[in-house]
Amino acid sequence: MQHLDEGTLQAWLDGARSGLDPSRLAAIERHLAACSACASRADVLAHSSFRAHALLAVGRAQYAPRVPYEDVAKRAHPARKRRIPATWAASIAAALAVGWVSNELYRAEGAAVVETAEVAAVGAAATPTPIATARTPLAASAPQGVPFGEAAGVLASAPFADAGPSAMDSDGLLVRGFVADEGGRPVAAAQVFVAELDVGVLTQQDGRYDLRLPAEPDEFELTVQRIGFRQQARAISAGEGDYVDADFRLREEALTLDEIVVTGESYGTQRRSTGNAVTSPRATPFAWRPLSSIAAEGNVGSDLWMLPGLDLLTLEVALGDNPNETYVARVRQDLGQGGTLTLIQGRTDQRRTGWPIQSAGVVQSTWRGEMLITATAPVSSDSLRTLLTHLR
Amino acid sequence: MKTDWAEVYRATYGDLVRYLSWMVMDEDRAHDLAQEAFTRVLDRNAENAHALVFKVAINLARDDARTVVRRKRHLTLLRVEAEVHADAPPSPAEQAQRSEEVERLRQALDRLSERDREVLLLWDAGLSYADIAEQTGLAVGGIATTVGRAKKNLIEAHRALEANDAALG
Repeated sequence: MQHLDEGTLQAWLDGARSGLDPSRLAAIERHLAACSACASRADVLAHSSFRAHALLAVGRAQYAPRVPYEDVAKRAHPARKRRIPATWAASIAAALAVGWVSNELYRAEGAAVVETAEVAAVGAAATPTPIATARTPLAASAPQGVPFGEAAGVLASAPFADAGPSAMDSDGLLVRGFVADEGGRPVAAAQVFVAELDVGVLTQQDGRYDLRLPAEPDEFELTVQRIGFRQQARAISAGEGDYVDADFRLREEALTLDEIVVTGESYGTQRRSTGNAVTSPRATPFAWRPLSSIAAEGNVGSDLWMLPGLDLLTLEVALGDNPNETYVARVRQDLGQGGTLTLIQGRTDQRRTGWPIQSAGVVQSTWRGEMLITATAPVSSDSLRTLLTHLR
Repeated sequence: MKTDWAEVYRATYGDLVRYLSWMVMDEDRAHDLAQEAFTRVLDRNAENAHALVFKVAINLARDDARTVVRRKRHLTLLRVEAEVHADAPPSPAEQAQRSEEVERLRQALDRLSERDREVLLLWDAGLSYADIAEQTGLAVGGIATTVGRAKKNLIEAHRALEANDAALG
């Protein structure tokens, strides 16, 4: 009796999908019943199939669809999408336990919406750090591309943003350089700033930065910081020229992360004229479900807002009771060193006024407009400061 | 007959993402690609819907790989999604151990030839020999042998890496 080769045994193990016709499969089976040598080889092969499947399942959860089929079908056959004009003048405010910081919100489209954000923070065992920077306007206006600060028209220079530098003052000073880690690898999204002038930029992916300063003062201190690295500062003297080169090499630093949770709630208390009763906050929490960015943007009705330079960890959307009505997206980004930032953004429906995103409203930013962004970030006190500069 | 895509989606999604997650080494990306693949095939009628969606996804993954490698190379490859354990997230120690395991698997897969790896992953995802042959350009007759060899090599490579790691303590 001729023995079966490995390929044949493997094909038999894989059954119908091997393409062997049923009569052939049956013949192999008959052979295996009679031939113990082949049967034991088949056992070995079966075991290795099992083992290979098991190995390839390592660390892999059972992948359930992240979006229901209907959503995918909707994307494949999009109905006319109703898009609310994206007013991405989103705002966030946060502070350490210092109490109140007043804050202004701007709409990217220029129609000034000025509200007061009430800011407080809890849970920080850290020493209060005055957040002087938080007084600057927050303008997160990704789609419109309005550089930070421009909408407000108050800042001396474009603060932390990855938008290109604004037109340079003829008598300004350009500070340019490269920020690397100890191994010489570029450090992206590090903040390079002059505290006294309240001006700064983030380094690009390649670690480079351009920082434009007003002509005065001639001497100032340039600081570089990034979560996970020790902060560095250097005195810069402008001297004669209008251009200064300043490279930095950062040393890594382990952070102890005290958890600070900054949460927010939007209060769309501005009622439309047609409004009847003010709806009460949701009784049931949102159910978050992971989603691709494309689908999430479809749900939120605008581009999602994320902080430049930070890796995206997860992206989820919460669908309310009525999926046509409520859209909230939650974007989790990596702050490094175990810190994460969660941005919750959504489109407020005119029928809805409260967004009980988190139970404890630590930060309350009064909101007028369609979008809201709140942030949650388990970070150290230092990191929170970093976060704030990111957010403004 | 009209393809019941809802059923295909339900039945195929998990396999597809598992396959893609090894291909692109990024779970989020795998989900994105799987969703994208489905949106591209949904208006088609296919006799073999399962294979079609794999085919589209594989092409997406291949196109994607070139740009993603550059763009997302710093994205952690070994992230373990907490979606299944949303209620009880794994402890850091468990996560570290799982990351280590995944990394070992990645290395073991790297030791296979590209062809064997692809055949093995497609086989793992449940594709038929005919479909694997079509995706990889191999002859149907050779698939069984390739699968047998690839999984044996994977298991051996994994065992060697495990022994190595154990020796290193």
